Amino acid sequence: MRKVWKTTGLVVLGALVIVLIFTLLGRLTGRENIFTRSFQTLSAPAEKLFASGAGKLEEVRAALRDYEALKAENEELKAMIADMDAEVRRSQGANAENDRLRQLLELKRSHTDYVLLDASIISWGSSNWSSTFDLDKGSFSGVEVGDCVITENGFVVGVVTEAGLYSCSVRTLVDPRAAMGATVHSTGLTAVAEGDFSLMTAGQLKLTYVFENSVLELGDTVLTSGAGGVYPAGLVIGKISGIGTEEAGYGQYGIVTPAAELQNLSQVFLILEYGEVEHEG
Amino acid sequence: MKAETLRSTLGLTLVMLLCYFLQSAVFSRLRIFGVSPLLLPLVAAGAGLLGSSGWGGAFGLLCGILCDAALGGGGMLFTVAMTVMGFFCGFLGDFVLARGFPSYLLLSLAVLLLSALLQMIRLLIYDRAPAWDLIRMGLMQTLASAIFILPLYFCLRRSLRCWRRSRERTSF
Repeated sequence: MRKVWKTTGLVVLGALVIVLIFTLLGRLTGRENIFTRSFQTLSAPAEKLFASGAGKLEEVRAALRDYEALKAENEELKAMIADMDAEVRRSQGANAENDRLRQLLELKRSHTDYVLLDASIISWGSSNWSSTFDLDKGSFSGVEVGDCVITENGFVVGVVTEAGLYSCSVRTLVDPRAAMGATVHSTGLTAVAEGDFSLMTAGQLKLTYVFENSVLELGDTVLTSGAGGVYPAGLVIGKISGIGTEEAGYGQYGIVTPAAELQNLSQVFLILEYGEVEHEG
Repeated sequence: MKAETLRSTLGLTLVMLLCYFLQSAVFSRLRIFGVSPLLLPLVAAGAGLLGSSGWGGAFGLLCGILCDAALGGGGMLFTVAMTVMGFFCGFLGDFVLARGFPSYLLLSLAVLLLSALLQMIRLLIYDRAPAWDLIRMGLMQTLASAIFILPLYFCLRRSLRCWRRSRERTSF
């Protein structure tokens, strides 16, 4: 046993001496240590693995350390996004209003005789038999029964049928009881644009009482003629989107699609007064 | 006023206001089968049938005023018509019909058809609107409104239960 230990001890000692000699020689000659290099080559994958694991652990530790700070920052960013969203919405509303007012300014420039009042739609009538809505302006603001209601572009919307102190009711141009003097822009043909129950649900009205030999064309623009005194002349009613023959067999009638998008209205303008001034444009 | 009567009045008022807001604010834009349902005549009919002619007349008047406001146009048609309808439903409930769902269903349909008829008469006579178009609209309106008969029956019966119990107690 002692012999075995002695032999082994000698071998180990010899090996150690050899390693030390090679290491010492490497140091002295400036060359790389073959043993160190070999070990580094062999251990590189394991080192990489451990380094990677340590990196991950460090990341987790850092994440844990920064969690509260990140949470606070996240909340702050969320609040900022909400503020920015609100700002964007406000800007979009302001832009839309700006566009409306700009168009209204154009309308005012071309119709200097108009005294206009802006109003917002409070509610739509729930009747299936008529087309009405209420506005937030009434006789306190100078609104009277018979005042004409238009959009910012000068498209006809309807007429005031009832005026309370702070609100008024408007009958739209597609209501079966609505009627107005009309003229076809391209031909100068005069007729009557009136609401029709069958067309009301489709949001259209009828151009009737057209002269027997007159011809209507699809796409013609229909304007108010000013006859009757309720609507000033030259306001756009809509375009002819269909043509038919009257029941009695004489003459034609036109189906008019209003220029004003009634379903999308939110703000309208009341013409409180208008004169007989020559219109520009 | 007795506590039971007060509770029933409050309950019915609540149902009536709910119907008004649904009819005027919700269903004026969110249509069913392309039409707005009429809910307030159902309340007037229910107040009459499940209550009495007094309840029917009183709530018929209130529902009529609200219905005219909801429909717009500044008319008085429903203020008058629904007072009469509510009172008549109460009379039928007092003397002719049983106070159950079949009677309410029958009266509700009658009231809805009558309301549609009243609405179409002026258009038919003065505006020469095509009769078939008017009838179709009237039927569609009745159909869309009829969806609410069952839920309203339970709400109205529940509202008037206190008053009816106290009345039955005093009559014995």
